[in-house]
Amino acid sequence: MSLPHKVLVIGSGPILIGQAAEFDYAGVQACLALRGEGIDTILVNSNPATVMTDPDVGGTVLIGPLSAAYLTRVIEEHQPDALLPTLGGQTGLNLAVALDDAGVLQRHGVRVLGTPLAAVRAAEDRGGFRDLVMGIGEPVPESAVIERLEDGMRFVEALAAPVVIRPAFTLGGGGGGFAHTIDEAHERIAIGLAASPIGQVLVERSLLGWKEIEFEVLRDAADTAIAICGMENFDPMGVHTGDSIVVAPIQTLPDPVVQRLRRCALKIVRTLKLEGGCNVQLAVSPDGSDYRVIEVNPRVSRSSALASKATGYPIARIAALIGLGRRLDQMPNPATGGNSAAFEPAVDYVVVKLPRWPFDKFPTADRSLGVQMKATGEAMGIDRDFGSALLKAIRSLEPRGRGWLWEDPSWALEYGPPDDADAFLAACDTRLWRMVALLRHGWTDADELSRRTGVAPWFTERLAELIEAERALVGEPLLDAKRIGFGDAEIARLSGVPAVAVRRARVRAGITPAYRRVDTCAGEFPAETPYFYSSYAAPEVPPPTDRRSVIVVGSGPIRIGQGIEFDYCSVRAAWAIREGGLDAVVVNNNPETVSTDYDACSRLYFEPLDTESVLDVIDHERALTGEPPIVLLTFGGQTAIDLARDLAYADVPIAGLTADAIEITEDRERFAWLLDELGLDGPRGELARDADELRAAIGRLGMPVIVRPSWVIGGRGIAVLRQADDVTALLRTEIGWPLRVDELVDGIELDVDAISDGTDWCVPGILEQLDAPGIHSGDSVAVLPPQRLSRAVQEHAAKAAGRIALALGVRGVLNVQMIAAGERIVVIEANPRASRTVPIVAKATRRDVVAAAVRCALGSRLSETGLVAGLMPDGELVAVKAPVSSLWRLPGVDPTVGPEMRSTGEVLGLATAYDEALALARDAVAAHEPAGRSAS
Amino acid sequence: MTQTVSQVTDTTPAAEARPASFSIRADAVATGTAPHVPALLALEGGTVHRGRLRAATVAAAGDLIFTTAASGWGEIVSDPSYAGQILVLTHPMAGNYRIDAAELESDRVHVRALVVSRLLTPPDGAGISLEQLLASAGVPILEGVDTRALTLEIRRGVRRRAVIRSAPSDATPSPEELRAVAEAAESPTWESVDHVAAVAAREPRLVPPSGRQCARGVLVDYGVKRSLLTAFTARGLELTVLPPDATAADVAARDPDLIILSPGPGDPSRMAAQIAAVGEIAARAIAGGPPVLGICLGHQLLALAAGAPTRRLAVGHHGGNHAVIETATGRVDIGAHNHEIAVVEDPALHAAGYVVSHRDLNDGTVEGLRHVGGRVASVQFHPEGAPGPIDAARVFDLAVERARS
Repeated sequence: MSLPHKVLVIGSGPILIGQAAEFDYAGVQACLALRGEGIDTILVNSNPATVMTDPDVGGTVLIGPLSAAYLTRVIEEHQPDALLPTLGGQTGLNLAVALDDAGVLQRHGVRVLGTPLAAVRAAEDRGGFRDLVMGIGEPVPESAVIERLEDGMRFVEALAAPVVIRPAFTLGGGGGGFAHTIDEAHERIAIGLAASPIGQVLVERSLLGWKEIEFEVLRDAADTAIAICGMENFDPMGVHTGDSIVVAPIQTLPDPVVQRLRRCALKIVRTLKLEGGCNVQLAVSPDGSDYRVIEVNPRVSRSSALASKATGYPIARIAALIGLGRRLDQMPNPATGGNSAAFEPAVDYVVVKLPRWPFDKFPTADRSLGVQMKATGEAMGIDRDFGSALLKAIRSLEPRGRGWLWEDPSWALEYGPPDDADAFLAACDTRLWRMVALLRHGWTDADELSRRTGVAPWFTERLAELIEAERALVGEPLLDAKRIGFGDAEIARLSGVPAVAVRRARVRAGITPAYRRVDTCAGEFPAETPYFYSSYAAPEVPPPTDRRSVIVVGSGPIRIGQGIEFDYCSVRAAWAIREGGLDAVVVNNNPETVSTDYDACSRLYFEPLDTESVLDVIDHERALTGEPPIVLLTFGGQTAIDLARDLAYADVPIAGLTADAIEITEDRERFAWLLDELGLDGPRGELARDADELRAAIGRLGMPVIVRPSWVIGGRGIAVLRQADDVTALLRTEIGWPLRVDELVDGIELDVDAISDGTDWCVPGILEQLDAPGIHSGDSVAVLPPQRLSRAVQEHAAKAAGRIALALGVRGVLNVQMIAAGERIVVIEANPRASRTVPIVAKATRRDVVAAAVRCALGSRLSETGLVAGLMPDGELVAVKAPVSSLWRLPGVDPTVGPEMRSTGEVLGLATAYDEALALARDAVAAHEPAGRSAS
Repeated sequence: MTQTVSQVTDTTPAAEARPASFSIRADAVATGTAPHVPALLALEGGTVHRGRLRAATVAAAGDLIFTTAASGWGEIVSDPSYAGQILVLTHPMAGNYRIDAAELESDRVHVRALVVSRLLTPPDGAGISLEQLLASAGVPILEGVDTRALTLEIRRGVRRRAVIRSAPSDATPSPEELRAVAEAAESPTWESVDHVAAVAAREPRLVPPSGRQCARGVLVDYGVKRSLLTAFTARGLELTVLPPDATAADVAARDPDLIILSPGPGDPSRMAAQIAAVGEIAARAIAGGPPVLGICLGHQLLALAAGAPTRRLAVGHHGGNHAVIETATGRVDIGAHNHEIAVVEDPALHAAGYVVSHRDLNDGTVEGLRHVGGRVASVQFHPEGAPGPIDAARVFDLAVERARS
């Protein structure tokens, strides 16, 4: 097969629940792999907060709607000769199929690289896939489509196993359900038949409680097929794998079963003739004696990103090269530099992935877990033991008090066991903590937990073991507690001392973690992968470096309000550091992302982003390089910024930023004083300690006002009061007094990002929010450059941001939110870090904002960064950003927007004219509206 | 002295599930599985790793190797090819599940000792735990060793005679440490011992096919594992298993359709009698006699008989993740490997009419030979898996096909 010249790569669009940063990771790997082979790439994606949409990654980058119409236009204009469809998630795959169906690919001579679309169709067509799998002798869940009760009962009696009943053509599965006995089945089928408008019901074997196993496999055109990683879900069948705790490698199955499942997975990809990556999901009966094929995803996925990070084997990069016709056995091993990429990784550690759910933002949401994924992100822990890997993963969720020891007070387990243990243990976001709490209070044992939850006894026994260790922890040697995996914070709480005292005692005693290499081969071959995890074990020192290291602290799991944009910032920061001749060290724990690709930095530490782990990495880097590393906190969102105080306390200098500067911006009073000093306008506001004070304050400020708990900025509990009714309604809710009451300035809200070297400042671009103030800026449509403001007002705004940056002593990047009301500029808040808008400014102005901020933080003058002091002139392009929500996936969540952010992702329309950019942004949003959403 | 399994002091219901034929050493049973005795692993070069003894509180000496397999502990420890070896598990959590008797590859435990990071007690259920299995065989498990650090040491070429013994004091260097290091240095090398004699069949025996018989085979046993026998009997072969000292005439007397040279432990270059016998068996095959398939040690003996030397690998292949390419077709298979020794690609091979049929993709090791006439073939790896993939099981299909024609 001859190599293509120009390959079209389709991205996956905005972050949605179920489709997150993993496709940026896949796309970046694919584009770099293709370009490394001398092939031009055309990348289409509507999501600006991605690494792939930078031209040095994506090649010819087109930021636009992921619709068949737009892609058709792209193909017509750019004439690619090939298309790589399997790296942009389901979105990319569906578009490729749509383009093929419309004859566009054929008309323009675009061939499909990698897995043929016929194979994609075969895998995606449920009925056809079922027949295909059965045709090769592999088992699928038994099922029957029936229209008469007798037929249904005949099937159920022959099956003699629990069933699930799904009536045909009912909305949201109405009339369906599970049946465990013959009587239940009789009743359910009758109900189902009545509920179905066409009187038809699918009766299928229920696999509830079976183990869920996934294999990530690669196959090339020469029919070499390898299994990169087998993964086992902690949660049994019934919980979406994206909402499950996932463990790698498989822990509880005997080798013959593992081999049988592996063979089944390889047989399926060989039968489908897939060329590239594929995910095969299997269900295994609790005793391991039986299994069923559940699903096949003929593309890279969230699971393949997890498998790549879990093993160190870059599945997406190799899948892209397979797409070019390369053979696995003829490519060099991506990790060991050995002779062949045809190699199945062996790991000598355990990986645990935990989902991150958005329920903290939406207390009213239905928190139960089922077949519909609800998590927005995930974190992964690596260590030599399941328990320590799990504890690390929990710390990586940034639990804010919800660590391993957390219990919801409403459980009241100190007084007695729950009334209904099964209901208490039903699958939900807190089930892990519920299980642990029951063990802690002695209300149950591992065996009972397994019986009630279907979680394999091997896992519940590990939880029980941790509880036993927790009980015995006080008085035991500190090293033992650290080896088991308890964080300093947990040890501190259990022993009643401050966490800082634990750390001090630990460091004084020389109890610090060693760093272990993730090498794909369990130490069998020399490997140079700069990918490490901490473990209380013998040190394994990577080759010393003579370069000073700069640590980029990442942003952890993706959540609403802290998304992929910070991964973009972290990655670009790492690249800028490397270009500057220093070692870029990344600390992060999100397995989906580009920043946790060890190719993107000099050294990657896969660690929780808490004080303990970040300080440990800093200490280790100091020991490694012989000088204190430079620490950058400004690119990892609030996660990284939240570490500033503790790092300052530990005498770690933070580049370009002081802990005091952060405190000023986080303390409303101090920030108000700063604005006063600078002669800048802030919103008028007061503190209300009770209802009377609130009413009085509103009287003085006048409606509308915005109220929020005084201890939070931009976070939860914010409300806008526009009329008397709103006040009454607010007072009926539970309020954490005192409340901060601020005037809601009517005007145009602006997002201004300033870069400063401490002396000079520059604003590369301003974003104008098109929605009224009071709507969270993350949920607002915005345009760059501003369309409704004079240049003079913009200069005024830029100058305000620049002066705040200088006053705070920021060297790097600062985001200021303000409202332009006529000529008046009211400063709302400042964040001394890269914000959500940085990638948008970078894409719209084509200015490398992150690199400039990094260089300023490392001591360069602004003039040396390629930016020009002051408000920079508008570029040729107008950019319109629009939010995209996927909260319709969360039942119980009110979809209306307000001061709390609700969107999960964003799209950009980029054009020379405003109208055109706006239309593109609208199309881009429309491309991700769920079909039939209003009907459900 | 042996006794039956039911006498083991084991209160779990799983005990009944053990194979009735499983023999145990009485002296080991007394030690039980309870005490965790502080112990050490000493290497001849002087390195010492500390841990605690489980399964059996007895000392052990052997050649230190590691496997990257993440499951299949029962298969591994009962595989005769591990005779004389102390096995390090790179997987940090060992013994996660109960071992079914059907997973065992022989009626004994052959590893001298296991070295693990952490040994788990599996959940209740059918089958026995890894610890019970080794306890019943009187084989110690050294737990609490940083097996990655040890693996990296082995990979960097440390000399590998090792001793495990209890060590109550943890002073360094303690008298026990020094003594253990000296013992390791004085112990016989793995290559110098006749491991085959200790594990192979002593008497001929007949293994019937599991289905309809399609051909008859002779398997010369140097330490065969159960899965390999099953691979052939499941394909309709009636197998006569002959002891390792079988001559070409002994083999011919059985009038087989296929001759299988089995895997086994140790260094084949010391097996002069077997090399001579295999040379004659191969010569007869080449001259039109029954075809020959050599596996692992059998493969090495064929090469030695053809005049090619064998060598000890810097780091042996032990695990289920290596890829092997079939040179004639370009087909790639992931397979189970378990060899410290490899055939040197010597001109003698080509002079004798052999071509390299399989090669390890990663380090280029010779993983298979084929005689140009097509009547003699061999593989270094284990197409039967157990543990590990059986992607290359067609090696058996082809051999049985040849036997039937």
